[in-house]
Amino acid sequence: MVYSLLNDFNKFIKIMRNHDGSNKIDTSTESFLSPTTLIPLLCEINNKKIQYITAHPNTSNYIKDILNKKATNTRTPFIILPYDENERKNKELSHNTALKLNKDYGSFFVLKYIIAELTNNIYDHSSFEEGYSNQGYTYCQEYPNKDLLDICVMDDGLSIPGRFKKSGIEFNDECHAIEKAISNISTKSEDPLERGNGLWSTIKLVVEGNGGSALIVSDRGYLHIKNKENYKYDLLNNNDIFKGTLISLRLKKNQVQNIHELIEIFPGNPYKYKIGRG
Amino acid sequence: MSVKKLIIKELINSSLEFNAAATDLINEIENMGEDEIIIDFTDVVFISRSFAQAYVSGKIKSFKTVKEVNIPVEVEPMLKMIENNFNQRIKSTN
Repeated sequence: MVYSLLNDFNKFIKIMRNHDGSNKIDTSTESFLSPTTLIPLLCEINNKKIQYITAHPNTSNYIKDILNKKATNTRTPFIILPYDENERKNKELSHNTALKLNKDYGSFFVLKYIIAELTNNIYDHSSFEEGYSNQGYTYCQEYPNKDLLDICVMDDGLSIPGRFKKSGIEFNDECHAIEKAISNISTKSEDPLERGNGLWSTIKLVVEGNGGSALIVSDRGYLHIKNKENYKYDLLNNNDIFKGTLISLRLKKNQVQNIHELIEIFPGNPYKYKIGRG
Repeated sequence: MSVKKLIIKELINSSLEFNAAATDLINEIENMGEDEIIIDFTDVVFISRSFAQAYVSGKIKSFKTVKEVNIPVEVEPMLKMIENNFNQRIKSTN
């Protein structure tokens, strides 16, 4: 069964809350691990140097394949983003990742666009060089029986609120920072044509263009978008469990039409945050 | 006027993804002795918005004349879209 992206992330929180601090982590209660559960989990396992994973029989081989960076017809290899700038340039990450995906989800261009913009954000904002980020990750999984594709990109770096704080951009709480991040505001340039367009346009392509859904988790805040009218901001109780930013997108099996018209100009952010809750 | 041609696929690669690569390209162009630079986009398969924005923005600010040739059909819409955005703004401020 495929649950919502938020549900998948909460599974990760639940697994980590149940972790006793030992070098073994128990995922055996979960018979299915989507990218949105698995990627932050692998990040925490790496950071906390956890050596053993207890898995449900349904997921044991799956986890081994992921850790061995194996790809199949329905999933890309689990990619740890390269630190080195030249290695990054040479890998043509978005193009090569999108080649492995089913182009019926959005289109080949849309898949490349999404992955390029989200990985660009990690390199631009997470600052491997400054020592804020240990790792960036990408992973994509198709559910052919459900005609859905999950794309998950995360880093354990500075986070959106952290980056805004460092740049002197004010915000009320972590959710407000996420709202600003998808409102054509950038810490790199005040010129809205130069920067700040990757995230809102990616969300627009997926939610409005494809009818898909999105989840942004950054530090303690999240925005879960089921569709343009149905979305929710909230704060998580995830201290010491999650660090950085995770963006998960769930695409449906249809092609986005009029791509460039959709993303040409920032139309205003339809996902308004009411300060306090939701 | 002196002219230099650059084949972008050889300088970067065929998938233009990262804005840092565009910034580096513009910096390289600025350091060249020639006044006009022609960027050949032959065999480029993709240009991200981030790359296109950094490239067009840098090109506009440059004192060099920068032109593109052999832009593939997959790449032209994004480049045109970004150029239109910048050009619209220049028109409205003049």
